[in-house]
Order: sequence, then C-alpha cells, then structure tokens
Amino acid sequence: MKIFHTADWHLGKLVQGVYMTEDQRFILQAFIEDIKKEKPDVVIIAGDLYDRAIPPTEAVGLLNDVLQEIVIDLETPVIAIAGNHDSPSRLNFGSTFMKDQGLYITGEISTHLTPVKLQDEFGDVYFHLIPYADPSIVSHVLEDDEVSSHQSAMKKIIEQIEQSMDKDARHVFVGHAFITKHGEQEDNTSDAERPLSIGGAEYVSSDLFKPFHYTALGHLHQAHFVGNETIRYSGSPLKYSISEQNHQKGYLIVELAANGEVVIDKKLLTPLHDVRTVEGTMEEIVAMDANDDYVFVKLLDAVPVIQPMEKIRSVFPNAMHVERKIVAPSTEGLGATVDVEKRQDDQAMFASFFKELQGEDADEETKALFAEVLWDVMKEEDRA
Amino acid sequence: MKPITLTMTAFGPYKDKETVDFRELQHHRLFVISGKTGAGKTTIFDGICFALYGQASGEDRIDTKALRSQFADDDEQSTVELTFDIHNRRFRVVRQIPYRKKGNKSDTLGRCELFEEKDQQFVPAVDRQIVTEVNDKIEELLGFTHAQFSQIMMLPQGEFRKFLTSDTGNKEAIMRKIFKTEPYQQIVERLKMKKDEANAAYLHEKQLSDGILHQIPAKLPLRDSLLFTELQSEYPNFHQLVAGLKQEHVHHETQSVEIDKEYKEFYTAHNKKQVELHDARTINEQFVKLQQRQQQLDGLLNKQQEMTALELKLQQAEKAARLEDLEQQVKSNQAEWQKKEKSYSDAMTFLATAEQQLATAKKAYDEELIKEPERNEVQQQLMTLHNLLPTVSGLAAQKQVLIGLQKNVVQLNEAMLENQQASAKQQESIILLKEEIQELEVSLEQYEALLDELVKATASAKQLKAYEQQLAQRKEFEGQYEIAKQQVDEYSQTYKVLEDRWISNQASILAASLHEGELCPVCGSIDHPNKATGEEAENVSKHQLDTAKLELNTKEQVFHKKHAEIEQLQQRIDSSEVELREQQVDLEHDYLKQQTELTEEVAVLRTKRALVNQKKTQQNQAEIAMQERMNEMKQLEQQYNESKGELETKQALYEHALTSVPEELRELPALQLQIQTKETLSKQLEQAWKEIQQQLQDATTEKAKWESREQVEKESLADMKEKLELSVASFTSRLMKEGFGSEESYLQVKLPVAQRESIQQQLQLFAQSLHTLKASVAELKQSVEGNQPIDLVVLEQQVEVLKTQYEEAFALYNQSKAWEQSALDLHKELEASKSKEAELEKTYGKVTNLYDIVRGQNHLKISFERYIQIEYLERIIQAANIRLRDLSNGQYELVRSDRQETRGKQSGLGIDVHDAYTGQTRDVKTLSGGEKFNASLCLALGMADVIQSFQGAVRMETMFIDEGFGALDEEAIQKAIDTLIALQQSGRMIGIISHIDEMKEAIPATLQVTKMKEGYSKTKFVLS
Repeated sequence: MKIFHTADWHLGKLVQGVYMTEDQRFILQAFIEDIKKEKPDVVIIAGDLYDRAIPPTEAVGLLNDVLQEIVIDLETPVIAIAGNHDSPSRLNFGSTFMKDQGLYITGEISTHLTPVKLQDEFGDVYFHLIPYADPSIVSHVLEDDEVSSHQSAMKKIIEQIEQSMDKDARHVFVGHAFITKHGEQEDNTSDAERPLSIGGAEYVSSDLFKPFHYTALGHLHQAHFVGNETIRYSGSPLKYSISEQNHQKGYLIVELAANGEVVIDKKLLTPLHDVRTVEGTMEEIVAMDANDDYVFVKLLDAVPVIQPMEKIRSVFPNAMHVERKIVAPSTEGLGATVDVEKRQDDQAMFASFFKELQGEDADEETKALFAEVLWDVMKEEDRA
Repeated sequence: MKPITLTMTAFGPYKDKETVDFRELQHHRLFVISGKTGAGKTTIFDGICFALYGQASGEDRIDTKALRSQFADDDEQSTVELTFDIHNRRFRVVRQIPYRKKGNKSDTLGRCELFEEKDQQFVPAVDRQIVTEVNDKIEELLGFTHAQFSQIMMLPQGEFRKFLTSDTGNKEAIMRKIFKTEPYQQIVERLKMKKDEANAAYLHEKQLSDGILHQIPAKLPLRDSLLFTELQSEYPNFHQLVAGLKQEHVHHETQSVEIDKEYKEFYTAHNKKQVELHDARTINEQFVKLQQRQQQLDGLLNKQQEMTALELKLQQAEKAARLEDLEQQVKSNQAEWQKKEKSYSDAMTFLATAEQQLATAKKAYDEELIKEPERNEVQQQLMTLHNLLPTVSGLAAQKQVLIGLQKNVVQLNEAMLENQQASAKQQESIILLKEEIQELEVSLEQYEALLDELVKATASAKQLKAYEQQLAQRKEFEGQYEIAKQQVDEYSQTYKVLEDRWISNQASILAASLHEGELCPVCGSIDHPNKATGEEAENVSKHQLDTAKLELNTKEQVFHKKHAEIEQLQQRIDSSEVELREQQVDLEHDYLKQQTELTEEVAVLRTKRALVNQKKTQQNQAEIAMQERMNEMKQLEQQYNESKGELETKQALYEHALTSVPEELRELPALQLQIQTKETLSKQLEQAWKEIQQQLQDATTEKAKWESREQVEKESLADMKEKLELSVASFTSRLMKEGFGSEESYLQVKLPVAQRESIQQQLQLFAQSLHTLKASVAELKQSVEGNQPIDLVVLEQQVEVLKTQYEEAFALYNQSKAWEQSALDLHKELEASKSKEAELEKTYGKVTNLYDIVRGQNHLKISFERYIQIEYLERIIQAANIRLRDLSNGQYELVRSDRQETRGKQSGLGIDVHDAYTGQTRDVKTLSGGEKFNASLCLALGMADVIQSFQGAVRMETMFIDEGFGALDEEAIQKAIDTLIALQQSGRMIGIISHIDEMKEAIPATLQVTKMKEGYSKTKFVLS
C-alpha cells in the first residue's frame, strides 16, 4: 500500500501579519500534482489542518477545494485528524457522512476507537485515528482518573487499541503529539509550534508505538523519525517561521509491504516564496539581486537607518521583518537585554524582567505560576 | 494603501457628489490641500478615514452622524466611496451614514460594502457585507487598526502630538493599541484572580485548622495539662498545642495499660466464682431429684392392690371373649331373618298393585279397539283430500291465467276504442286544414298581378325621379349660363376701353415722334396740326391689354362651355319626356306612395303564401299519421279476437275442473288446512291406539315379574328361619360348656377388645415404672452420699458484684483507648493542616509578590506590559532622533525618561529632550510649539519605521498630515519640507493641509478646496 503522509498544513496561518493562503494554495496544488502522478492508496494528514480554531473563510475555502480534488476528483481516500490548533468539534463536522465519500476525519476522541479499514492486494490495513486531545479530556472520555499527562493518556489509548487489535493485520497509527525517544524533554523544531501543555508534560515516549507497523505523526514542523524508522513526523509543507529556514519541506511516501515492513521516501516541495534570513549592511542589501522571498533582514549597520523597511522592499518586496541590534544609551540596562521581537519567548522576557526588578532570578514556583497564567491568556486569545 | 478616488456625497461641507481623483496628481507624490478655514480640508481626511474605518480622523469627531452635510437634500444619504490600491490589488469601499429622513420615525440604515476589482469587475471582498466583516477585512489588508492609522498614516490636527506630550498612562494606552500588548495587561488581571484564589484557599485552610482546635474539648477529657492550659490562653501556640496533644496521647496510653490490668484481675476472679456457683447448683439439683423419685415410688406402691383386682377382671373377660363369635353369629342371623321377612311382604304388596293395573289396562284396550272403523275413515278422507291437492293448486294457476287474459282483452278493447276516437279527431283536423288551405289559396290569386304592378310602379318612380333631377340641373345650368354671359359682356366692354386707350396711346407715342415737317409714317403728311397728346388717357401698357384679352378669352370659353352643356341637357330632357310619354307615365301621379303601398300588400301576401305551404305540410303529415293509425287499429282488432278466443277456451276448461272439486275446498289454503286437520286427527288416533297397546303389554310384564319375585322371597325366608334356629342352639350349648350359668352372667364379664388392651397396657406400665424408680432412687442415694445441700444466694451475690466490677473496668479501658486514639488523630490532623496552611500562605505570598511586580508595584513603577512597551519606545525614539537631529540642526535629541512619575503613577514611558546647546535634559513639554510639531512628526515617522520593520503586511504608501506647520519659522519650514520631500522619494504619497505660502510654493501640486458663497464647498487639483 502506498501512503502519502503529510501534516501541519496550518491553513490560514499569519506570518508577521501576512496571510500565507496563496502560498498554501500553491504548495497544495503541487502536492495534488504528485498525487496524480504517484496515485497513492491513501493520504494521511496528521493534524493541524487549520491554524486556528475559527479559521478565516479563505482557509476554509482552500481546504474545501483541496479535499474536493483529492477525494472526489482523484478518488483517493483521505485520513485526517485534528491537531492542537484545530477545533475538535468543528473539524468533526460531517465526518460521519463524508466517510462514504472516502474522507475519514476524526476531530474528537471517543470511547470506541474504531479504526478505519482499507484494503490492498495483501489484505486489510487498519488506520488508528487519534486526534489531539488534552489529557483532561482523555481522562474524562475514557473514564480513567489516572490519566494526567500526555504520556499516560497516550498509553491508555494504545492499551485500549491493543485490546481489540487483529494481530495478523497491518496497523498504522495516525496521531498528533510531541513524541521523543523515551519521553524526555526536547526542544521544539520551530517557534511556530505551540506548546501542548505547561511545565514540560507534553512529551510522549516513542516506546508506546511498538504495536504499529507505521506511526504517522504531526505537530513538529521538521520531518524526522523518533527512535525507530517507522515512527515519523512528516513536517509541515511550508516554512511557517524563520526558525524553520533550514528545514527541507515536503511530505513522505510510505510503501507498506505485505509483511508490514515500510520503505520511506521523502519528497520535497518547492514553495512559491522561500523563507530565509538576509544579513548585511543597508548598503550591501540594497545592492543584492531582487527576490520575492519572504526575507527576515538582519541589519549590520552600526548606526540607525531611516526608513529601513522601505529601502529593503525595493529589493525584497515581500520582506517581513527587519532588525538591528540597538544599543540603548539612556536606559542604563533596563530593557537592553530584551528583544521584543521575540514575542514567542515571553517566559524568557519575564525572567529578565523579574531579575531586573527583584534583583534575583525568579524561583521555579514563580516561573511556573507565570507560565500557567501566560498559557491561560494565550489560549483565550487563540479562541477569540 | 494608496487612495485612487474619493467620492463624498452629502458629507461635511460637500453638499452634492464631490469626487477627488488622486490620479490627477500624475507623477506628483507630494501635494498640499489648501483652502479657507472651514472649507473642508480636514473633511477629505475624514472621508478617507471614515471610508476605511467608519470613524473620522480626529478624536473630537467621533459622532459619525454629525459627519452628514447640513446642506444636503433630505433625500440624499451621506455616502463616502473610496477606491484604493494595496499590495497590487484594487479595492473599493462604500459607507453610508445612517440618518433620519424628515417625517420618518426610524433611521434609514447605513451601508458598508467592500469590493475588490478583478478583471475590470468589482466583486465583493467579504462573505457578508456587514460592518464587522468589512472592518476586519480592511484591518487585515492595511495591517493597521484605526488607532494605528491615525497615529502613523493620517496625522490629524493636534492628535498625533498627543503621543509626545501626554502622560505615561495615555501613552501606555496608545502603545497598547498600536503594539497590541493587551495580553500582558490580561496577565495582570489573571494574576489578580490567582492571588484572590490563593488567599481564599489559605483562609479556608486556616478555618479548617481552627476547626480542629474547637474539636479538642469535645474529643478529649478536660484535665490539668499543657494542652488545656494552652487552649485557655488567648492565642494558643501551635507548637505548644502539638506538644500538648502528644503529652495527652502518652498520658492516655499509660492510663489504658493500668486500667487494662485491673480489668483482667477482676475478670479472672469473676470466672472462678462462676465455676464455684455452678458446682453448688448441680449438687442441690440432685438432692431435689432424689426427693421427687422417692415420692413417686411411694405413690406406685400404694396402687399395688388395685392392680391385682384389675388383673383378675382381665382374666374373666378373656374367657368371655372366646364365646363372642357364636354370639355374634346368632345376632347376625336374626337380623338377616328380619330383613327377609320385610322383603317378602313388600313383594306381596307390589304383586297386588300390578294385578290391579293390568285390569285397568285391559279395560282401556277394549275401549280403543272399538274405535278401529273411525280410524280407517279418517285415513280414507285424508287420502281423498291428498288426491284433490294437485287439482286445486292447478285451479289457482288457471284462475291466474284467466284473470290475465281477461285483463288483456279489456285493455285491447279500450285501446281500440281510444284509437277510434283519435282517428275521428284526426279526420276532423284534416278536413279543417283543407278548408283553410282553400281559403288562403283564393286570397293568393291576386298576388302575381300585384307583383307586376309593383315592378311597373318602381320603374316609373325611378324614371320620374331622373327626369326631375334633369330639370333641376337645367335650372342650375341656366343660372350659370347667365352669369357667364354677363361676365363676357363686362370683360369685352372693359377690353374695348383698354384697347381704345392703348390705340390712343399708340397714337400719342407716334405723335410724339412726329415733328413738323417730317413725314408721318402713317400718312406721309408733313403737317401735323392736331397731334395726339395722350394726356387724357392713362398709359395702358401692352401687357395690361394682353392680360385683359386673355381674361376675356377665358370668360368667353366658359360661356361657350356652359351654352353647350345646357343644350346637351335639354336634349336629354326631351328624350326623357318622350320616353315617359311612351310609357304612359302620369307626371302628376305619386308613384312612390303607390310603390310603398304595393310593397306592403305583397309582403302580406308573401306571408300568407308561406302559411299555405306550412299548412299543406301539416295536412300531409296528418294524413300519414291517419294511415298509420288505421294499420294499428287493424292489428289491435286481430289481437283482441285472438285473446278473446283463448279466454273462452280457458274459461271452459277451468269451469270443468271446478266441478270436480267440492265448493268449500276450491281454495288451496282451505284444502291445505283441511288436510292438516285430518292428519292431526289421524295421528292422534294412531298415537292413542299405540299407547294403549303398550300399556297393556307393560302391565302384563309387570304382573309376571312380581309373581315370580313373590315365589323367590317366600323360599328364602324359610331357609333363613332354619339357619337362625341352628345358631341359637349351638350358642346355648357352648355357654353351658364354658361354665356361664346363664346368658346374663356371660354378658356381665364380657369386655370390649379396646378396654381389654388398655388394662393390659396399664398393668405393664405399672410394672416398668416401678422397676425404673427403684433403680433411680438407689443410684441417687449412692451419689449424694456424704454431701449436704448448699446456700446458693450468697454465692450468686458474690458473682454479681465481681461482674459489675470487671464491666466497669472494661468501659474505662475503652474510653481511655478512644482518648488515646483521638489525641493521636488530632495531633496528626493539626500537624497536617498547619503544614498545608503554611504552604498555602507561602503560595499566596508568591502570587501576591508576582502580581505586584507584574502590575508595576515595584521600585521602578514599571509593569511587565510597560517593560515591553519601553522596548518599542526605545526603537521609536531612535528612529525619530535621526530625523529630529537634522530638523533641529543637531540641537535636540529625544530620550526616554527613567524618571519616576509623581504620586506613585506607573513610570517608564516618559520622553525627555536632550538639548545639545545646554547639555541638559528637560521635559518635552517645555519645547516650543514648532519644536513640538517637529518632534511629533519625527516620532510619527519613527513609529512608522518600527511598525513596518516587524509587520510584513504593513505598507506605508501614503501619509496625510493635518496642519502644524504654521508654528514654524521659514528655516524650520524649509527643513520640514526637505524631510517630506525625502519621504516621498521612497514612493510615499504625502498630503499636507497647510495655509503657509512657502509650503504652497515649494510643492507644485495643490488640491484646492473652495468654499462657495452658498456655504458648501468644491475641490479641484491644480498642478503648476
């Protein structure tokens, strides 16, 4: 069976105030062309189809067009789950009747984890669709008070799957989680990945996925495998942050053999606009070749420059960001060490703020407290 | 965002539709908007701002309804339409202000629509054209909120200066909007909630631990110890309490051990006494038993004699029992004999009755036997009647047929009569018709003559009319002829005069050419004594003469024509007259009237002719009908005769049949009734006969039966008697043999079997009891040997005392154990609660500390949000300084102030100015008006640079500045203009509102706003 594995489309994503919808349309069109060429038996989208719980209408329209083409026009079944950016119930809409058309979407976790069964010439292949869900929800749905972390939630779910698993058939797990080799802490692969929980309890051990012949994962934007070759992140099809500038974006072609062994081939996709960093003095930059890429500019000028953005746009019309390390002569240390443009790292900012005002580092409890409040606020903002 | 066209309708000072087409600027990117005060310069900015955000540019122009033009017609709704380019796409936004028409009760609603131009067509750019969606879309496109827009792109009067001089609170609000730092403010609110929650949790735990203290007196006994002393004190110390509880626990533990020991001693003693009591009870019981047995034994011994008598009686009874069989036999034989005797007498009685019955039956039989002829007769009658049945039933049918036939004959007869009458009537009507026809035909005879007359009259009338017309025409022509004649006369006269005159004129002309001595061309005379002078007559030209001649000719032609016409007409009249005369038409006769009369008469006759035809048809029809009726008559007659014949035949047959049946039986029901009656009678007779025969037979049988029965009974009675006598004899002989003197003595000793058995049992039981008791008494006597009965009451009292003692000790022990446990529990609980309380208190402290720091209650008075804003401000100031240094000739440089605000207000966002001339730093508020303007402008431009540097979607393609240049001197203005020119070189379109002449001179493009004398305004681009 030939499987296309992709994830983290983040339709409706806003990078530095710019909607990526057109870039997404371009890259997905390339993806569809590959489907026409390769004719896979199934396409897996492992979560984060949308970037927000309530996506903009253009994003909804885009997903509609893409699924229409893959599922109806090309008659290729699509298996998709909700990620942490998606709204579970909204994505779940229509899942029951779209099943008949070959679109298997699971937005919400449920008590009876019925797998999707597809066939190839060697027999049945079971796909276990596990959407992202907060451990509290898993605890509620599976009626198990023991579930308190992502690790225990996933363990419980897989135990449940194993109970009714046909040992002779082949099994593919589709999930959206932060999986590391033994559940140890690891850095995110991109700034665009939103933490799944506060206080570092988001990691899930790859050991749990031994029962499956292949594990198709989403969440981390860089394509890589975890522990075992068969446990893989496909990565996002586009660069959604400057921190992803060195990633190779694309999707995975998975060949599932009769005995359950897999052969994996990574296919690259060429985007409409690349995301990259440009460094240099203003003089050097203005002399560069014009380019449409989304560039993040680091100015190396020693003195401030007037209208830096407008000058840069004469070369890079789609420039997204320009920065120059400033030296603040009047603030005597206050704020000098903070880089506001790194808004993602609010906690680091807080740490330095606290240190500056309190004269000592914040203790763990205070840090945790702040992280908790920050999490709440960000979650609320995301919902709006 | 680059505006293309702005159309304002009924907006501000613009009464009608006012369009500003920015494309008219051509290559100019910098332009001045000039005009008189109040002309509506700022309104252009308002228009752009309103179209984009639904709000005017300045903060003092918030009420959108006030933007409606007061000059506008009541029907015109205020509309602003803006077409703009952004990111190489073109959009059009239309907004209308809701307003209330005169006389309406509710507002006419506003409108808000956004379109994008695609392939020359405007398509909606939002899903639903509603305010919120349009606003969101525009914010998304521009990358600016309204607040950002009016701080950076459109700098309204006085407004953008606010950022420079306002206090830090205001600045915080502005920066929050621009740099979207609300989440950090929300963090503060969240922390406050957390703090309150932590406080509540702490207080709750404290209450719980206080609760534990309150439980102590209830759970532990009061005693003079550390714990209770501590509890008594006003502020019990937690550690003392814990120690006290521990002490209490130890105390109660010791107590428990002691009481336990005591309890165990008491318990052992009690058990021992209990055993003692038990033994004593057993001995006493044996003594009582012995006494009871002895008494029983004595009683039995007393009964010994009675038992011996009973034994003798039993022996006697057993002897008698041996005779019992024989006695029984006698008795049963006797009973049998009596029974037989009774049945014999019964049989006798029955026999007598049977004989009597037989006699009665025989008599009745004889009576019935005589009735034999009667029965036969009835049978005969019945047979006759049965034979009659088919005849009678046939009769009824025949009669039915006869009646039918009769009815038929009568009907036919009637029909014949009816037909005869009808045919007579018809005959009559035919005759009548014939007469009528004859009459009509007579009257029609003159029809043809009349018709001829009518034709003639019509022709005459026509000719006469034509003739009269001709006459009239002649008269008319004659008139015309006269006129023409007159005219010809007149004209010929006139012409003659003219001709004379003309000739004389010719003479005078000729005369004029004549000179004495010259030859006259006419006569050759050389003497001309009397030359024509031509003075008496006017000059008549040849032309005039010709005209007159022509006219005359015309008239003459007319006259001749008329004359010819008259003659022609006269000829026609003459011929007409001849014709009339030939046809003998009386010219005086009124043919028209005659014609009318004749026509009427002919019409009457024509009607009559039609009537005759109709009548003839009727007559024909009637005759045919008559013929048909005759045929019918013949048929009817035939039918009648046939029916009559049949009837007579049938009648004869019927009457013949009738004679064979008696008169009263001719009806079928009567016959049937008779048959039924006879049948019933016959059946009755037969029944009676049969019954009597049966009865006789039964009686005979019965008698025979009883005769034989009597014989049998008699024999059996004799047998029985013999048997009885035999058994009596044998019983008497046996009685003597057994030694009973008489039957009486036998009956005296005789006892029934049950009684005998009971006596036997009684005797056996007695013997057994006696033996048992004797053995028991001997045994008991042996066991009590050497013992005495003991007093139990004392012992029992002793046991009771001991029991109470041990029970009390046990209760005490339990109590002590419970106290021991609760002391331990309380100790644990208190310790746990206190440690939890301490932990919560610590958390509360942490949260409070964090909350205070984050919200800015710290030594620098800087909140976390502001800490982040400071960073932005630094960047803005840096960007601003580059320009300000230039504008102020290097005198000024802005610096962020670290100064703390007074009265504990939040600090960190103040701006100071560093004066290079004095080397001092002072508040920006101390700058002059012009300097402030420069500084503000630089700040706005700096802010634009900063926002663009991290918002990829933001494009600064346009900038509008409203006023402020008035406060600058010439040099400063020049500098400002230089700055603006530098700005526009980067591609920005910059619009400035200004009255300053230098400005107007320096900038070639001007948008002139003119205030008309009617009060409203017009705009025009002027390019120089």
